[in-house]
Amino acid sequence: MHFSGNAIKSYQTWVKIGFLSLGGAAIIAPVVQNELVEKQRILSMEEFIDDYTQAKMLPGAIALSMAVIIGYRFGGFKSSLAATLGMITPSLVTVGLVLFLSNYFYGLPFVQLFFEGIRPVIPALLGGIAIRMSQTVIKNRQNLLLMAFLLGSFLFFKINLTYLLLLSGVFGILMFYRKVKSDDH
Amino acid sequence: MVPILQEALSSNRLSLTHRQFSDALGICGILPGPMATNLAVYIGFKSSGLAGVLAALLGIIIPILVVGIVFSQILHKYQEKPFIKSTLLGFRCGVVIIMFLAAVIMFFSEQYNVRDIIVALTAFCMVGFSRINPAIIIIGGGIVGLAIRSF
Repeated sequence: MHFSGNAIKSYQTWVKIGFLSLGGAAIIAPVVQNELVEKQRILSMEEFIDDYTQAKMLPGAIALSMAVIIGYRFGGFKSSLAATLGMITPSLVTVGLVLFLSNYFYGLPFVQLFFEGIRPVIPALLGGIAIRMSQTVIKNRQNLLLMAFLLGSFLFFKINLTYLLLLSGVFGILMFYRKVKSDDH
Repeated sequence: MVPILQEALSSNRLSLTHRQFSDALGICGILPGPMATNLAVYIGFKSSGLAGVLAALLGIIIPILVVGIVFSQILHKYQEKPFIKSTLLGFRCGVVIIMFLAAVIMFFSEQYNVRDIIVALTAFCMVGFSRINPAIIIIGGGIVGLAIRSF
């Protein structure tokens, strides 16, 4: 935990993440994973997956929830607030600039083409990061079994993704409770 | 969020025209940063200047901060309890699967041509199997898209 209590470092990190997350909410997971797990190495892949799950379950913008939750992990309230402020800084700067230039920029044809080029990359990044995360999760047979079961229940019963996540929690208890409890003692 | 904003717009709680609103959606979706805060800054400013920006940002941040911190506190306190711990272990498997499925659903819900599919597959492999910064992949995708659409 390198920046435990260091609100300034937390702020800087999330300003960077904010500026890098171009193209919508789907991009936030790969960007955060790359910065905190791969580069700064202050978060393990398991911790990242747990925090992402929490952020996904909370109401509101997932990017902000991630800043709040991961900020909190590293230094409580102060660091959490700093991370949130970091996350809104790019919005203030870029939207401020666009308002200042009064929509001139969005009308440019190359800007439109650029963002059309980004469109196919967004699901690819989301799928890629899922593959990345699965490399950590598929460490034992039980996890693999649970994942296969969840995939199967989506394919055969068309279960909605939110219910699928809840189902995974229920099966987590059914499959791992005993083992976790015996490890505890 | 968009439907809630539209409701506020039609009940005249925001002094904004429909045209301004659709411009706001287009611009805020592509600028860096979360779309929610981009919209807060943009719509806040358009409807009541700097005070509007401040009010909108506080409005969007405070609920998330409160809920997020309370949630984290509770979780950090009880995460070693077997009941919570085993639920989290299950969620780890679940979240990977739903992310992957969300990506697949997103991919098939849009009309892509062969070039888009090649770009998408390349990006997918780069994120899945290398440590390249995803921001570079996004910008690269944009530049490639710009290039193939221009010629």
